[in-house]
This record gives sequence, C-alpha cells and structure tokens, in this order.
Amino acid sequence: MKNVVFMMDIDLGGEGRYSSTRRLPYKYSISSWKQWCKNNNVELFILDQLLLPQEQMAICWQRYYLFDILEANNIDYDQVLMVDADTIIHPDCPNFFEMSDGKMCGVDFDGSYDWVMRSIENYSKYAFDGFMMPWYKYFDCGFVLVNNTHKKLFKHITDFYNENSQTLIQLQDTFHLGTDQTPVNMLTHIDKVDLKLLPYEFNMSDMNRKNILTEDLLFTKIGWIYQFNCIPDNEESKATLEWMKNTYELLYGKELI
Amino acid sequence: MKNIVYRIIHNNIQGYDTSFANYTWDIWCKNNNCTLITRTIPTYCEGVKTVFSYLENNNIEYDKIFIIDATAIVKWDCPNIFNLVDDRLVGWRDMGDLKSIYNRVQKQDLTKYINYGSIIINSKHRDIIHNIPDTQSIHEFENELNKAITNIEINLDISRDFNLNHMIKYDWLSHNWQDGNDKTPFFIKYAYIWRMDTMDKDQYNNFVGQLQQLKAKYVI
Repeated sequence: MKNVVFMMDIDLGGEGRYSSTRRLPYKYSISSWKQWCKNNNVELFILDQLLLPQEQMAICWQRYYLFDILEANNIDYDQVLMVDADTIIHPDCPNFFEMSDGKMCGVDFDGSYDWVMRSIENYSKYAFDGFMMPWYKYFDCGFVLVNNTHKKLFKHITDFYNENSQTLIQLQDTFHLGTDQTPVNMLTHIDKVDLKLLPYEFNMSDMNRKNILTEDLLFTKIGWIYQFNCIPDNEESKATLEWMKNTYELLYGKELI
Repeated sequence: MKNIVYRIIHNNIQGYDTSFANYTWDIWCKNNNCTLITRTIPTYCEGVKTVFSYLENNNIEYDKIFIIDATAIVKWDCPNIFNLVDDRLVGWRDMGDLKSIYNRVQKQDLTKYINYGSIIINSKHRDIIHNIPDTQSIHEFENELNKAITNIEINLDISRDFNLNHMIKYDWLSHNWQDGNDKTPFFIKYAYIWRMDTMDKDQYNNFVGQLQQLKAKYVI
C-alpha cells in the first residue's frame, strides 16, 4: 500500500478560491507535488470534479469524503496527506509520512490570532454550544495527514456539515472567518483525536508576517512546504501567481510536469 | 527545596517600567510557594550564567529555576508551571521573525531554536549554563545558548500560552470585535505569561500602564 497525497483542483469559473483565475498558480503546486511524490514513492491524487453541487455542499467541505473517493477509485492507501493547491513543496522535503507516529498530523500554526480567536469564539458560540479548543493546537487545513483510523472523524465532519449547513453558511457569510478549517479543528478536539503537530516548516503559512516572503525567496532556505496565503496587495491573486511561479522555477526549473 | 522564579533586569531594558511585572510575579510566587528573585545586572548573559553561584552564595535552596526576562508579566490565575515540567531544560520555540533568526544562525535547526527570555533549568544544567561564552547583546546570547544546548534533550512541549511573545505582530491585543460586548483582549483571555521584550520602551510603558487596572485581580 502506498501513501497518498490528495489535492483538489476544480475549475468552478466565476469568483472564489477555485475560480479560473485564482486557479492559475495551482499548476505550479501540482507539478511540484508530482515530482516530490515520484521521488518518495507516493501516489498523487487530484480531485478535479465536484462530488456534489456547490449549493448542496461547499467545495472545501467535499474533500472530507476523501476516504470514499479513494476507495471508489480503487486506490489502496496507507496514510493520506490532504494538502492545498496553493502550496509548493521543496524537492528535498523529508518524507513527513515517516514522522506521523500513526497519528493524525497538522502543522504548528502561527499567524493572525485576531482572525483565529474570533473564528474559534464565534464558531464555538454559534455552532458548538460553547465548546472551546486549545488555540495552541490550532492547525491549518492546508496540511492534514490521516490514515484509515480517521474515517470516523471525517464521517463526523461531513455529517456535521450536512446537519448544520445553514448555520455554517450563515456564520461564514456573517463573520468571514473561514469555511471548514475552524469547525474541523473543533471536531478533531471534540472527538479527542490524538493529534500530532509537525513543525511550522511543513506548512509555512502567512510567511509575510514572519518576514520570510522576500524577493530572494528566503523561505526556500528555511523550510519545506510553502503556503502562499495572507499575501498583501494581492488583487485577483496576481501576487500568488508570481510568488508561486518564481518559487517553482527556482526549485524545479521552468518545465511543468 | 523551593522552585525559583529568577527575573533579570538588564541594560537592554533600561527605562522599561517593570514594577507591575514584578508585582504580578510576587503575588504568583506567594500563591505557588515559589521564591522570587529579581536581579539587576548589566547583561542578560551574565544574569543567566551566574544564576547558580548567586543562589548558592546567598544560601538559597532551589529545585527548578524559571529564568525570565523582567518585562514578562504573569496572569493572576496562571497554573504552577513547575508542576508541568520534568528534568529536561524547558524552552519555547521562537517563530516570530524567522528572517532575523535565520540570518543570525543559518545552519542550526530552526525547529529547535528557543527564545532566550524564558527557560526552566535545574542543577543538571549547571555546567551547560556556566560555560556559555560571555556575550553583550541579547541576540548573541540567544545564539550561544542554543549552541550550548544542541546536544541535550529539550522540552519544547509546554504550550505556548505559557510564553506568549510578539503580541502586537500576531494581533494578540485584539478582541472579538464582531460579536458580543466582551472587549477583553485575547492575550488576557487565552495566555498565562505575556512576554513583551519585542515592544520598545514607550510601547511597553504605555501598555503596562493600561494593565494596572488588573491589579485587583492579583490576590494572595
């Protein structure tokens, strides 16, 4: 059985994260992951079609059907990394599947706690009956590593969405504090899942705040997986495209695989 | 033997009004049966390196020693941190400004690079601490400290609410402005030890001035 990297790259047209224009940089992400997976004997699976209409389930939530998706596609798996397509992996990134100790893994988050704490508090109050999670165990859902013992959690996540979709959509529209990420964090703690957090270098979000999103691509010397989010002056994701293109070309050359 | 909280007032924080910080630690130590030591000494490095000799020369018995920058403030209901640690040296990773750290250390493993201003040690660490080369600046000291502990096992598992740093840059002074009437800043609600050595003197004094209203919360 192989380990699997699972990504989404679905063209929804229109506006939003999976609109045609915002997807432009994803080709660099996918190409970097293809090469890393090949060198580490890992299978890459890219979901490029919706499972359900967006009106029925928002796209970010659909990825939590990943076990069903893999099984429906006859893919045997050991561990699965669910990773966002706004990331680029360094070719020398250590094999994080060997670091999991068989646990669910996220990555140490460190960014705007104004956003995180408002998100936790508001979801807590309106969707989780006041349940609070420890903020220092918060993880970005751009990197979530699981195995088949976490099927129950993922079923809980999709069931939770289906039972509370109106509330969740309303919360998202009111507070703009993310879609799946905070609820998934909360459910992970409600279910008392044994969670391991890998160091920040395995999902380097909000790099600008850490002063490493620099013209010399300093971040490529510091860590392994770069998530190009929270980028200032990023109208229509043009800056994301530029950063990801430059990073990819530095690490892998101009050819896309 | 008592556990010790050992605060260092050094030249880099001249002009910082650390009296409120001292007040908070004084109450906390009394409530947690710890001994509070506050030393004024030219360099942070010297303060750390001489901790064992200072305690022994003054006939102060000790078990574990929490060495902390004197600008740090402890929250009134902070649990006894000494109950959470074992015999390993305790530190907290610093991820606030990775560029600055990388430019200083480069080849070290940044995932294990700890911040200078908050460590817990015990007598097992006497030689390591004593043999740190003399340095003048905080950054030099931090580098040397990290080099000195490269080959020992470090406890990095104590949660970050016991060492909240870079509070402005990471928006910890904010509150839930979207919902309800609670204007309590997040750092007060969700962290126990507030590290403020990344604030300049005016920012710090102004900030601590506002915290004075919390004084009544600190009761023995």
